[in-house]
Amino acid sequence: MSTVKGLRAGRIALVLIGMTLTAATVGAEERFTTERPSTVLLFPKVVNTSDTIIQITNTTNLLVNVHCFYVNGQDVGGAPIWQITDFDLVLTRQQPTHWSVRNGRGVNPNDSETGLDPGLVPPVVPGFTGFLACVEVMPSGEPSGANSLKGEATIGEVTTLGAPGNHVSKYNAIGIQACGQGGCGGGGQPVNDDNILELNNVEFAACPGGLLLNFAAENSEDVAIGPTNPPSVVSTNLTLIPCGLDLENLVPASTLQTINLRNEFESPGSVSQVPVDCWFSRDLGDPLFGNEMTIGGLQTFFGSGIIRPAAPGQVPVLGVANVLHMAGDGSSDTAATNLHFCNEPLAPSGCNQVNSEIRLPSLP
Amino acid sequence: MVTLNATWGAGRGSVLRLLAAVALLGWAANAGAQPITADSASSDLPAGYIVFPKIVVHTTGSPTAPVLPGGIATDTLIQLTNTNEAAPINVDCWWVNANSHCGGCTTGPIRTCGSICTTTLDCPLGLSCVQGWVTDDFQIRLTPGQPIAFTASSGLNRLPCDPGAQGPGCPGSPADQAMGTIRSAPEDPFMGELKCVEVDDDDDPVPANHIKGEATIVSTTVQPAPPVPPILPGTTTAAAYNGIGFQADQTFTPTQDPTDPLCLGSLPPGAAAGVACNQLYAPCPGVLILNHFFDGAATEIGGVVDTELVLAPCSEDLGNITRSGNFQVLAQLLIYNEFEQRFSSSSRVTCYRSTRLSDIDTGPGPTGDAFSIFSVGVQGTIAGQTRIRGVQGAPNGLGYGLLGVACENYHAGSLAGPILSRTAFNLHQDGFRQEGDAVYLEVLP
Amino acid sequence: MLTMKKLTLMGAAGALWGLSALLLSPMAHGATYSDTGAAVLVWPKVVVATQRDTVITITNSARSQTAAHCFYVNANSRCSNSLEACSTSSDCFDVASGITGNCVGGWIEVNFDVILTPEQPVAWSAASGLGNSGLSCPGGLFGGSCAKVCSGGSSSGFPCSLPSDCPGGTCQFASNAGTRVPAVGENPFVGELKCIESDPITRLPKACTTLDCNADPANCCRADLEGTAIITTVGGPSSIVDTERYNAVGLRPTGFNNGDRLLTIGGTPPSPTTTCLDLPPETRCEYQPCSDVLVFNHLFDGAVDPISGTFVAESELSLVPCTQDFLTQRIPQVTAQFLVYNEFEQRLSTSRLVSCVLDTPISLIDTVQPNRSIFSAALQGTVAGQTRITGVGGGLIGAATLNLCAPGVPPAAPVCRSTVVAPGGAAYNLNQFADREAADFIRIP
Repeated sequence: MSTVKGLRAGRIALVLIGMTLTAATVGAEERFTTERPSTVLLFPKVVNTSDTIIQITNTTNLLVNVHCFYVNGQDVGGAPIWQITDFDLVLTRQQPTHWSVRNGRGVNPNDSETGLDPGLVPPVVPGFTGFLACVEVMPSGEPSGANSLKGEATIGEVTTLGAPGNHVSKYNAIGIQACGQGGCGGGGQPVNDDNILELNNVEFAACPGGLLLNFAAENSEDVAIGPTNPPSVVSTNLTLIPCGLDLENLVPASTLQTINLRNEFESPGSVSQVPVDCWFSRDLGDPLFGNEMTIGGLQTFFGSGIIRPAAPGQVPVLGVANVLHMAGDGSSDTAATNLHFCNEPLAPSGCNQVNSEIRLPSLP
Repeated sequence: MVTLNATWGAGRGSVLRLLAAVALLGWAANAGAQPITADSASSDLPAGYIVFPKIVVHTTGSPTAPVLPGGIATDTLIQLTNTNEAAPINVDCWWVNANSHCGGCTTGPIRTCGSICTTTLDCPLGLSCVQGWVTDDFQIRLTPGQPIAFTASSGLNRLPCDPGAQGPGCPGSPADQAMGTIRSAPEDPFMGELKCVEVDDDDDPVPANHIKGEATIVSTTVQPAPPVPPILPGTTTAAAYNGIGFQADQTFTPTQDPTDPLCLGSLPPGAAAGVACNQLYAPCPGVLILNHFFDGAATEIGGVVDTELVLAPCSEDLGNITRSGNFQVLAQLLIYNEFEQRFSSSSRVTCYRSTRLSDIDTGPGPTGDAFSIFSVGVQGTIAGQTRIRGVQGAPNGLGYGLLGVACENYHAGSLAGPILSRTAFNLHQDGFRQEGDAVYLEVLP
Repeated sequence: MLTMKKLTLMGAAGALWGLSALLLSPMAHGATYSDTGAAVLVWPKVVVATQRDTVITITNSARSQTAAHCFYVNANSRCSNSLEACSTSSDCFDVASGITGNCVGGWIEVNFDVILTPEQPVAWSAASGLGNSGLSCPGGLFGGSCAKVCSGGSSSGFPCSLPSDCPGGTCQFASNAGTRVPAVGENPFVGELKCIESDPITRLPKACTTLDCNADPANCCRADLEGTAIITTVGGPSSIVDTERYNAVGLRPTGFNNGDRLLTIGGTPPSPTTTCLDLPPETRCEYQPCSDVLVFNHLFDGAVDPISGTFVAESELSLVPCTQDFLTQRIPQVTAQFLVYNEFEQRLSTSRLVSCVLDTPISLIDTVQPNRSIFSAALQGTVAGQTRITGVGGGLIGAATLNLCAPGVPPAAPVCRSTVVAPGGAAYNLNQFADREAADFIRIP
């Protein structure tokens, strides 16, 4: 039987080991990342309208515990329902795992899902549209700072040749790295054991001040398909989530964003007061964006945008873009990309990092 | 497992939630005015040196092997943006042509190449499919904040805001206007890379990080022109990835010596005497981490999936095609399945390697793929993690780092079936290379 | 790196430096010459084909007899299976075995001597060579109209009329005896010719210590050779005769030659205030350096000739390395870097390995698909261009030709390459810029 002291000693040992690992794998610039192992993984677009496969890997040689949260951002009467479902995973050393959000994954070594089952993963409700957050934790539930996790999400479905919905797109999970001692530019501290993940460049990396979006004008001709298979059209779906979560008090995060645009002739434009309530996913031709990102409004085939908080005090957003390429014969496919982080603090970009937090449910 | 439910308007706890919301907003304070920097190559931040490892072209306009109606044409759309909203930037780019030809290309007076091939099986008996490595560059200037896009097959003859292509938002000052021409990929079909460096007016690399880019590989069925009826069913696939960026060290003073290389991390061992770093950039990743489905897996999404992996050395000598064309990096691969079982393999990357996973440890082509350690039948699980590392070899002034992207193909029915959809994604990274890598630019006359 | 503004400044500085150098020192200014006598002549483009031949002329500009030790370099590519000349691997298909061989670059050298009487020009056709029956001055007692020169003694080779003009020797009719120029031996033939002014007995350059031949004719370094090449094309449906002429590129002496088998061309001075003549004898330069940059002004391929308004331009470029090792028969390889400017001042670049000889249409330098070449007018958008060529790992010598061809129906190439005869063509020498710092060598057997 473990005593409290024994558990605490064990926890300290694990923290120390985690810190060691952290020091071994972490450089001086912990940050939000889409390609480095992290402590927190955010999958901004998880849908059950088609299907989504989540892949998570433990990149270290130690056992890792993960606490995940599905956040359902479906709208009911114009408001997000913010329904949260959480579950736990255990990943052995270097173990990759995957599951379908539609089916979930059971713990049954005799089922058709081969491999070490990481834990009981519930399926999401039909029509689920939202995001997934996974946090690396200690066995007792406190957040870890070991930066062990990486992940990808694959969205879509394929059926048969010629079927209209043969779309698959893939993006990397957005990782939030724990700073560790001396990390995040020098002021980092080890992760404490409370349930608040402070995104402040002390405990965890602070939120990037903005996102950079390169896009094709909505409903413009797809220049890559061009005359090969006309008439072609391209459409971009932008999915955004606020940088910050309150999973303890179940408060849907809400923020306002501004998108400053430029077309290829450098003509400026902007879309102000874009509300991102819990989960945002719209095509660039949506009336919310005015006509600014369509071929008619943009006036060129391509444009770029900086997505930033509309005012001080607003948290930034994180997101992915999913582009639909449709050819004249009706065939189409989607391609997702992670958005770049805007890192220029000086005007006119003005992307200053913003502190925020992720509140996990309190530990008993 | 506990399911937490929350709905708007619940009475109890609403005050707490309000306070929490206020606290959250209160926490939304500026963390500081320092730009985010990366400690190694990154695909999510603007950079001073950017690499697109996978550029593919095969269109109806190929003079040697045009895609005919009913066939699949492929092109790559590249989007580049100057993230400097205040000033124009100059960008030097290089197409790296890694096409393979039957019998290679002659080294005689006139460079003639055999037909473009993928494997020796495509070649007449007696000829091998030999990979080449040739570079061609172009230089452009982008106006402040300007995004541009072009296809690899066509390039862009005139940039928007070029003096001859003015628009309403273009800068009036000639010094700020766009300039240059983007040449098309040098061959069609084409397989290779695109590399771009931010430079000053004298073509010297600068300690600045303003380039970001994405590449989208689009394939579609070539349809005949009316009144011929369309060929149905057609397919269209699109796969996009971010360019891999290396951030310049903004405190470094460039040597401005064109014979000095761009150093990724540090100057690699074995560099010639007197060679110093022209400009210092973030190091190459120590390990590339590829999360993938094993070849032949039937995922819940549908179809049967296989994965193509593109690996290219971090180090290049863009001015010495012989040196780069013969430069070889040994890639070590560690493969983990969902049972935590580990396998390993290795593969030689000579200037450029594009391969299906299950062709790494078996021969090219479908023969033997079922016995590959990347095959779902061998592994027994759907998902896997492959860790890829370049093995440090003899010091020669070039480093042994690797860069890569991956593409998943979703086939109908079996791996022999047509590709219904395709995705691309950037590889994850772990650590960074201590030994350094170098990119020698052309020594321009 | 060099930009236009730097080039302007460097050009002005170079001109000023060159003028002062000419006035102050016999050795301060180098580079190659095509408009004055030289000690080494290089003809970078010698071609023989059906309906095509090259007439080589070599002239002794001195009033004394001299000799040239010459080397033909056959750069034909050859089939690996049959050793027949080829242009692509498809030429190497063996019907008997069904196997296709590789077409690989070749390098075959043949050397011979040409003895020149005072102020004598000699000419021969590359296809036919020059036998005894073709010698203008058979010598001996029946010298015909040839001048008389001293044979032996202190005035050997110098003109004479009386025996007393030749102390220690005899006054005889000047003779080309010893001259035998072989035919190039293959049709088609692509290659180069090098001739080195040398002693007719030893076949090595004469040892010398001064450039002042008036003061010390016995020990002076001579530069008496001048040469041209006339590429003649005959035939076609209209029996067109087209001639293209360029001057041989010459290397002038420095004022020192140790008479050994290693000809040192240029070299890095031991300090900025010295020249390569200040190096130790074993590394001291014997010939002035090859140029650092070749400046090639041309029309882009496919550009409509502005004069005729009908014919389209197609240029060919011939490059050979400065360095040659005839002793060990090692194929010289230099990477040529091309910087191409169009009339919009837009810059593109590419590089290409020069293995022995590069003799190619310019739109095949960077690609095998001419319409996608950076030397194509369709890509460049202007008629004229400037290409600056520099060698990495060695110097380069070159010549160019411009052909005007009947326009083909797009997307076909202009007619030049599909027929032997173009409506018109011209050859010309390349301009030069600056001297190479590193030394080049010619090692003769």
